[in-house]
Amino acid sequence: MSIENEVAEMIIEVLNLEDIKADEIGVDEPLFGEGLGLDSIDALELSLAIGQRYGLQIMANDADNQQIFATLRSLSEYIDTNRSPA
Amino acid sequence: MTAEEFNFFSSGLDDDWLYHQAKAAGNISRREFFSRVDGFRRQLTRLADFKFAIVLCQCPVNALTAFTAVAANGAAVLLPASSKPEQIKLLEEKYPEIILIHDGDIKFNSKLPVIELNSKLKSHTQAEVIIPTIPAGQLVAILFTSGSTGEPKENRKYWGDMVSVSRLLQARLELGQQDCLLVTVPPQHAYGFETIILMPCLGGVSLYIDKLFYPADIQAAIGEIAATGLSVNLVTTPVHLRALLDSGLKLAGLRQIISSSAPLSKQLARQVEKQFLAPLMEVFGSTEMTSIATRRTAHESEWQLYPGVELKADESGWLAVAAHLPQLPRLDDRIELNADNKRYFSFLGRNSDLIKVAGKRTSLQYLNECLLEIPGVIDGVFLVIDDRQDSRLQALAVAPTLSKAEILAALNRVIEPAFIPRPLHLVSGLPRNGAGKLPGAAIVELLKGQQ
Repeated sequence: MSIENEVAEMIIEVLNLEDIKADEIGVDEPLFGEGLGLDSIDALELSLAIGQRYGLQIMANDADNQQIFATLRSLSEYIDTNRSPA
Repeated sequence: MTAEEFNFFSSGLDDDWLYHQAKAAGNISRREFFSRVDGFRRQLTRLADFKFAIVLCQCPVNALTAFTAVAANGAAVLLPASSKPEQIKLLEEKYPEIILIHDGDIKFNSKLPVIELNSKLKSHTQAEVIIPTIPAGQLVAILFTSGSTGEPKENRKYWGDMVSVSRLLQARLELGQQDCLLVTVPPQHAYGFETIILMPCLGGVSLYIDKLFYPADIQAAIGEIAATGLSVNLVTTPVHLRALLDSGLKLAGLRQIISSSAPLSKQLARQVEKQFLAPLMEVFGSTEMTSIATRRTAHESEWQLYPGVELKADESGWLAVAAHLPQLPRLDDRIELNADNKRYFSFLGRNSDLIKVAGKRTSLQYLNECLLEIPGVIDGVFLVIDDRQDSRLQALAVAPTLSKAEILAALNRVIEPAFIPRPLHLVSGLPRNGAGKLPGAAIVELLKGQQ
């Protein structure tokens, strides 16, 4: 499974987005606001899941937090680059 | 009452007051803050004549700077709960001579004069510090109810009244110059307004500059502030407290945790106190009243009113009575005063929560408490799905370690059979909004997915 697909599955599972499938989340579609319509509490929940699954603590003060959560592609890249070795 | 003066201590003018995270630009003294305010005030004056300023700033120090500069110009800030374009348009139509202040990441298609307040705002070097004086009778802020109970409704706040309420909150939480507030709440909320703006302005407390959101941010900020020798007070909500517990991160060095905006269960309060080794104070208030009472939820069921605030009943419910609440705000709640000491009261539920099933009465608030007290239930809510008064209740529960049967068995031990939810849905999360509340529309959506 590609990292994008893995992250999309996580988003759907964690946020209980039952009416969409992983391959329906466009890699360059905005996750928040206009696109998938996620909100700040969703970001908080995703940050917990990312911490649990990838040993990665998301911080708002990271230089490009907005960029990290911008799209499925950016979030996947961030996780892939920074995650702790399994 | 010296309501005109900001409570800035001239002896501490050059001490650090607003705290950045270590890797950022550095801390800000009162002297520098007022210099920035003066610079920003001049920018505003050049931008337009205005009586109102919509402030959408998310960063606490920007909200504080914007508020002080606007108030120093004799104008009032509008703090809308939502920054959606339709909401801004409504304000634009309703309030004359209006401008908008934000701190980035918001796109506008508006004819309003708009100004971005950057936290890297240059300060002027000047010999003299100009500390604004604000008349007690000045309208300083308009807050809006969240709209979960209908259209957003304005609540006007006057400076003298805000001076009073901030003194009461400060005394109750024992906040002073040795304290720093770390805030996860937006400034556009009565609780955020009191803690981000009034406490630093009037209580002399320090403020952590950045917006705190993720558990790791909160953990890092606590460590940094504790290292300065200041007492760390975390100002947050039940949603964030739950996330902090779930993150498994250790928070060391907290003096106090403060929670408001949504009901906190006794179970969560106990877990938080045990895990983070600090007292957790819950604040009771509303947009109409601002805060009026507190309790230490892990150990106390009753709320203790602030000195000088009384609750009085009339034929249609309860009113909050105090010198700083001249508009006599009404509580949309059912409460019970302690028979022996009217400084204490129990919260029984919202007026709109009262339900009657098969001739028996209860409240959703009580049922929700019963659900949340079950060990293993992380979040949950009872619902009346249609308008028929006698329909069965439904409930949503987040409880990864429990089965439906286990939850129903636990409920059966404490509530009448008529109120047992049918069905009970197990879900992975509830659609709480940024303030921790549950919008009705989101619940309906979630239920659709369950059927």
